Amino acid sequence: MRTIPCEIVTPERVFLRDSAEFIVAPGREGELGILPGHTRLLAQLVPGNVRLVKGHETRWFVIAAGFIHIEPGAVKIVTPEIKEQ
Amino acid sequence: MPSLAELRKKIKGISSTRQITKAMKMVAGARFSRAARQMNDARFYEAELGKLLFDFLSLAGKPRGRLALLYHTPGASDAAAQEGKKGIVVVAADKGLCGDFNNSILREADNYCKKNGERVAVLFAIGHKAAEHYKSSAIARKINYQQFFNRFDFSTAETIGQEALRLYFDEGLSGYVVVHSHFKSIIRQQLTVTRLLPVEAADASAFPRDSMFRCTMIEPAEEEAVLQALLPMYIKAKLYGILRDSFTAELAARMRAMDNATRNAGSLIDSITLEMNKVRQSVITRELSEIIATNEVVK
Repeated sequence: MRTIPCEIVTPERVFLRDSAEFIVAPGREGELGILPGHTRLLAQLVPGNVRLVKGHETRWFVIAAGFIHIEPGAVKIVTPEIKEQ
Repeated sequence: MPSLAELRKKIKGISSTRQITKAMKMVAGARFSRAARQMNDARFYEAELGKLLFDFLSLAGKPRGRLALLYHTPGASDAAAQEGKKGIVVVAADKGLCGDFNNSILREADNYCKKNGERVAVLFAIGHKAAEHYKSSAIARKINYQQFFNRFDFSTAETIGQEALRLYFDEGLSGYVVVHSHFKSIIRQQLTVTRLLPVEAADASAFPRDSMFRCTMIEPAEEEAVLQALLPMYIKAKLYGILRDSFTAELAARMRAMDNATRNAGSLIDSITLEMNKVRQSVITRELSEIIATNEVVK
């Protein structure tokens, strides 16, 4: 499966630098599902769950707010607060 | 001439001071590397948000409505902005013993207040030293945040930023400046006056264009809703970066000040030891000559 590099940036540190096959983020206007090749997008995020799927593994995170930026080669989530579940 | 006992007491006193300054230098040194790392992370976060913000602004145009107050386009309204009410954020340290660190910041802040006179309507005193300095100042709105530098995180900057933004609108300010120390290197801290608000298009130069994102689609589609969240987030991130920067500079300044103090104590001990040896020698010489003289008399 193709993957996209994903980075989660918080004020305290770069929380995560990984790649994923599928990313789900809580957009302001509904959940965003991101697969490799997604169009360029800047979206506001609301409190909710972020999901990173890679193979059989799914990682869950809770974020307080933030933004997601999607480019063909990279996904970046900038959030003031995040916790892994 | 001081007695031997007096000199010994003096040496003992100075060596215990030297032990303290040496310990303080070690403590500052140990905390410094962590603070420097946290500063870089805070700056990285600020840069990411900065890239997002300026990329967004280049796509969506300048903000409108209430948010336009937070953004300044150089031009016709320059004079009005100069004349308007201002806010100042003074970032000093909680503790002294860091050389000229606090004094230079407070001096610069005083100069700014003097230059702008009554136009300075809001003052944020960050750090105990700043709060103490401005205790009796005549500025209308004074807000203190102190004793948090030992242990602070983004939420502190968020609280300060939130309050600063609220007062910006409530008091009808035309700008905020932050007077703080910028960490250049372990031996050099630079006194800096940073404009926190309003945000200017020129600020984008801090985030090189080629490293910026180029977004084509924005969600939600209402630009104002995005800016409503993005602009305050950027300002808080900038404030957090400044606080981290200032704290790193403070530790570097303390390390250097304590290193100098330790070295000075060492040379003081050396010179007093020399004096003590001279005194001891003269006592021995006197006693010897007394013995010889007595011996001569007895003969």
